[in-house]
Amino acid sequence: MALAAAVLFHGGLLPFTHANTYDAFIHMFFGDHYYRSWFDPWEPRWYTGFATTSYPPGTHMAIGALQYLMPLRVAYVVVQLVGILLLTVGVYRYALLWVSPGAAGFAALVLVLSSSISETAHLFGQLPTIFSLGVFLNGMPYVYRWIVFGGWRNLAAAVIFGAATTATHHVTMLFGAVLFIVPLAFQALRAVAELNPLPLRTDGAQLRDQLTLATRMTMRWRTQMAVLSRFGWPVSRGLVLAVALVGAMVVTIFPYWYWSVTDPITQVSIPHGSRESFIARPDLGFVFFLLPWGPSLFFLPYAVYKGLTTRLLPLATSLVLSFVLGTGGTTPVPRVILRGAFDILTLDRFTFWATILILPFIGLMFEGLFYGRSGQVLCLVLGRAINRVVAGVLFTLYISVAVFAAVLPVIRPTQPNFIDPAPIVSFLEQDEHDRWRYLTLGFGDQFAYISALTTAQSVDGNYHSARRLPDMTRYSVERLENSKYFGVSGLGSLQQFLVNADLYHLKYIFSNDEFYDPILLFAGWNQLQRLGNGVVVWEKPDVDPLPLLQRRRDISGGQALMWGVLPPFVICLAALIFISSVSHLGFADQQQEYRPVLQRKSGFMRWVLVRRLVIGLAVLTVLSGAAAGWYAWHSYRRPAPAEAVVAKYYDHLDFRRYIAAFQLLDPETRGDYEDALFQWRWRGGLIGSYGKLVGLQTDVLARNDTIVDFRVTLDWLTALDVREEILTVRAVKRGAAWFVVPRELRPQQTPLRLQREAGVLWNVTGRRQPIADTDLHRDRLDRPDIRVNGARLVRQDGLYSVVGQVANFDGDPAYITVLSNLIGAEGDVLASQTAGIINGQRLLPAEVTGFRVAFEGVLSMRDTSALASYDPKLFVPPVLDAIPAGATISARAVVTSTNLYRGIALNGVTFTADEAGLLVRGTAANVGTETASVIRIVGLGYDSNGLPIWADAGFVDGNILPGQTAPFAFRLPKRTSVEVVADIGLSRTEVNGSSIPRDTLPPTDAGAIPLSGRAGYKALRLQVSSMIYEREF
Amino acid sequence: MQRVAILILCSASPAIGQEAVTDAFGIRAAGPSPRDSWAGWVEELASRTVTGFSVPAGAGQDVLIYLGAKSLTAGGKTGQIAALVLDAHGNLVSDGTAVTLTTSDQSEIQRTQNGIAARRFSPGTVAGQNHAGAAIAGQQSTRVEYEVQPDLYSLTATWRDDPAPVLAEDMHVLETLPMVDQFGNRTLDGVAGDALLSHAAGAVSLVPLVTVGGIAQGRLLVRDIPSDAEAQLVVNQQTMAKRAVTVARPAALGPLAVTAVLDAETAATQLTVGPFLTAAGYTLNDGSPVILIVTAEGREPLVHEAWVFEGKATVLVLAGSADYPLVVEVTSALGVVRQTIAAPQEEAP
Repeated sequence: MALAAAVLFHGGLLPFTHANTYDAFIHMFFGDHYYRSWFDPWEPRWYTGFATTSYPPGTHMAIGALQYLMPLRVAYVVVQLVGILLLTVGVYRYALLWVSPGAAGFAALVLVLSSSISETAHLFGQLPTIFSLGVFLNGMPYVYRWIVFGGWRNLAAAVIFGAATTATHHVTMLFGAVLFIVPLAFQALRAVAELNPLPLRTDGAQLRDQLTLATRMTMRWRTQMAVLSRFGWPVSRGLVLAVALVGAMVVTIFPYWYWSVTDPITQVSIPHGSRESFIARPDLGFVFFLLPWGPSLFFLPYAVYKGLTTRLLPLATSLVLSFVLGTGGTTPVPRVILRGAFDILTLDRFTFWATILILPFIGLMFEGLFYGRSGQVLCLVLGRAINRVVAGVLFTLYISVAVFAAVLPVIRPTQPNFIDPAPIVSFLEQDEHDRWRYLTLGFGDQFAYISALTTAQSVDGNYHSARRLPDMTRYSVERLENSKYFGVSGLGSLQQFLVNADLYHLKYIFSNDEFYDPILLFAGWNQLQRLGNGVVVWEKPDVDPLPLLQRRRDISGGQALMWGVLPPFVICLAALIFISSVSHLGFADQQQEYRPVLQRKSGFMRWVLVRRLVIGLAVLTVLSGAAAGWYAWHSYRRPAPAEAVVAKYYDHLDFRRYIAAFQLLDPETRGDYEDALFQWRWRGGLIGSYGKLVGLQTDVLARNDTIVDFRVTLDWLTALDVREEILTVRAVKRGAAWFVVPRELRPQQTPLRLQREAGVLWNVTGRRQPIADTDLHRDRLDRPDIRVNGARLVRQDGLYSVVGQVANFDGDPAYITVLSNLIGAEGDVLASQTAGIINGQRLLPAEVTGFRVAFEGVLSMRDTSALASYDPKLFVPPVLDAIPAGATISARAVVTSTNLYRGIALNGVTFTADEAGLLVRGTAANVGTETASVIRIVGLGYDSNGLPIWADAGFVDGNILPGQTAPFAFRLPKRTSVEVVADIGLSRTEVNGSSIPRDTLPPTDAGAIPLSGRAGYKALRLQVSSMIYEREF
Repeated sequence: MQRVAILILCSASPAIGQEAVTDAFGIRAAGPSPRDSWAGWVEELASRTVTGFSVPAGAGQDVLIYLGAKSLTAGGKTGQIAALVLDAHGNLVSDGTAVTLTTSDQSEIQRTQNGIAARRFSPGTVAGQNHAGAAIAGQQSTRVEYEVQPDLYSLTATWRDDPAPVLAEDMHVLETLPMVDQFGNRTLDGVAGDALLSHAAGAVSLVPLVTVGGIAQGRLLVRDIPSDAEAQLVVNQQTMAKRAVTVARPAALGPLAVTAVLDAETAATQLTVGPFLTAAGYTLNDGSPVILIVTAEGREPLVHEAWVFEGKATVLVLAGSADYPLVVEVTSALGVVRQTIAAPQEEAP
């Protein structure tokens, strides 16, 4: 019945739920690896290559093997379903060692309906966890029989199942040995004691007086020998088994252990919700604790009680241990027990194991409810109907929570909508696009599925233990793909890759999240096209393709052979034993030597007390439920204070819950919903379209009984930085509730109803010609004639930067890449870095811009002070082997034809010197015909000698439609805070692969805005560039 | 063991005796081969003798042309044109083969050396798109293109004369006369420049200019610039002509009305300022900023920002009837006006 339920319930759901899970696609990717190259454990498609010996291959090889018969996703579903069926049988067999067959049957049935399995399979997609535990538990009867009776077949079977478990998931074997085998060993020893009772005791005083001393000594010796002979062999067999299991673990996945030792995980711990305090983070507590436990949590006291009063004590001890470890960081106990492993392990697996360990108890309880004393009591006290209702309610509760867990990703999506991978795969296969690496953004775990369908390589990956690039291992970013969820640290890590893309041969980005658009454009990426599935392709110009021969880790042929043969071999052996036992003995496999706990046959001694207790509990349950409901209702109905309403309003806007936000607007003045929607959508740009609210503070400016004016400070995380927006917001009281007064748009009109403008467009043909050849000499344009001038190595607040200006002296628009190396006193290269967002990048003919190559790392999650203050200006200095003495610059350019909008004028720019430096403030006006969604202003300051000393970039918060304006402000540090380390002469400057001709160039500060020494600057050059892509509206 | 060695030697002897041919690409068996047609020195190896001879290349069949740089500057550095001449089998033709190298200004015969004929050529002083080619007797190369661009270093420009004041509510076009280099070439489309407007008190405005048809053009959103200014043309880091930009701003017409209405429900006052009448015959433009500083008796001033809409600006001030009289200071594009309101003019239901 349980197996049928598993097939119907999980088999029916899996085809629809696996795409929404976290891990399913990762396992498919690994499966695809073995399908493509079973015996080559090197996978080049992620992280510039990694060894698949870093994860036991059992389930992945199963998927890979099935791919010869069926598509990848179907293969995954089949293997996952087989894992659930194996686990169902395994739980039944394991429960049989502790409880009666009836109770074990209930245990298996509850397993199928439990929320932990549902969550693990349908929400997390943890295939190896389920599959390996299924294999593991099916081996437990052999462990038990080997300890109790011996028999080499039992030993062999136990070891083979242990090896097969290791082959699918080594962690299950490691911790399963402690949590499942140790209590079973105690149970087995107890069975040994009961099957081999001691001779009658002869130490009575009267008898002792009648025996001689020699006789007494002899009898005592015999007794001790009997004890020894009774437990000696079983304990010895247990030790032999332990040694054999350890040996099997080592041999089966030896290449994994070798990898662990030779390439240890030396990376920053990835934060995981299961290690958080579930009280401080109730949302995580729900996902990692409450949901997997489900209704089983109610029976935890029952399990403890049964453990204390029956032979189930070892199992209950293991259960309590797992329960405690599963609470994560809620208490310090798990950290004390696990020590260093606490920061590596994901602790939700302990909760998962606890929900398995409790199943024999729950089976026992259900058996009692149907056939035992507790059922009789309920029938007598409340009637048979109520007894059945209680049982029905319990099962319904289990099913409801299990279904809820399975469909939770649909109710509250944790992944983006399914992305059709075909256009992306097709793009990578066309025109040799797979000669470069790619990156995805905003794909969630579907990135792994894309990877599985192509041979193209990515710098990113979805298996952080295998990350090899220093830029990824140093920082707590699980993957670049979802870096925005890691705040400044994550975006900083992403920026390193976007800016230094040529170092990684990274040329294409598939973006499914427009949040990243600003950083992509201003880090020098061009929007190429929108694919049929809505994904936007971004391209970085002037990036070298991957070399034909790539570096790979040398894994010996012997290890590759072991990896390809041993794991599937032991799994096949275990499968044969399983099939053989099922065909001969059925699923039950019950043996006479099992010593389960049985239902008590005797009735209760004090019926009246039991009756009162049951009625009391029933009344208490009803009253508690009613009180909780009443409290929840009143909490919901209580009017929120004005501050909370304002905070909620901006939270709704942040998550684009426009209807909910509209309901918080003042009903008297908000107008129609469409009016409000218009107001919100009109305002786009860096904050409005690409910002994520990460902080909100309200300060009261003025208030009376019905109106409160707040100064609201909003902190927006954008792909470029964290921006602060200060607004004056009014809340008004209508009746008992507070509402937000809608803010009005500035009713500014463009002076021209119809703007006619002559413009310039360029067409760079490139390879878009009706010729089969991929590249012809005549397709290539000359690299534009650019000049780098006046560059210097400077230091400010301990941060080394190379500052300079670059001019386009060519008649064609230029896309410019500036790379700089820090040089030590011996001429050795200390660090390399490409100019990032403080760089004009795309220059029209005769245009000049400043740049600053900032030699910095990115913010690490280790930096707790950074987390507390959330300051995007914090940086991690690069690790340098020596003090930099100078720098070199290498700049190159290609002709470009995109992102050259020059319709933004700067009106009324003022320059204010203060303690912090030079504040540049003004109004950006869109005098062109395109909507500028994000505007960057690069400011290059010159010192008293007219040489570049510092460059920085400011961004306009909002979008600017034609004829509209928006304020901007940014700051340069005080000139005196910048120290010139070295001038970078022309001899250390290379442009387009050759030295700069020593012809006469204009003075560097020619044409700049004179500042007359304000904040120490002689002059300032401003260069404006814009993103004209409008996201919505 | 000896038998094995003898066996190996016996099997090797035929190889020693076999005739072979060596050329620049290695050893091959004697006899017909596609490599027979490859030019160069060939040696024939018999068992004891080595003889050699030279295979000459055939007549030129294919002419491949290379030209760089493809973008040259008028009056600037020379370019290079080169032709690679091959015979029917892909051999480089013999040295001394005559090749005619043609660029826009001249044709010149060059002799090949190692199959290549090359010469440098001057871009000339006339900007434009040009073509080049190479030819031998009976054969020509494909056409190649190269461009001679105006000399951006020597561009000169001046403002188009436009002395009239610019209207405040206008998108005024700033433009130059056609920009030419020292050779009289009009500049290419898409060349960038700036109009740097210097206002009073050190403020500046920066208007981007882009050339179209040799004329640099940019637009000035006049309403947002702080004051009259002097506009300087900046192209290619060179400051050029200056011109004055005078703004014709609206002037106030008559006193500014301020109306106070007490809102009974919220115990606040709705202040309506305006209409903002101007001498131009229409009200101040929508979106024009208005700042109201409202000071109630014995309280801190409250600052409110508003915008003109349909000639008026309206704010709701946290001032009940007990807070009167109110002192209201209105700052707008028409200047600063201060009024004292002793009591609300009316009370809203």
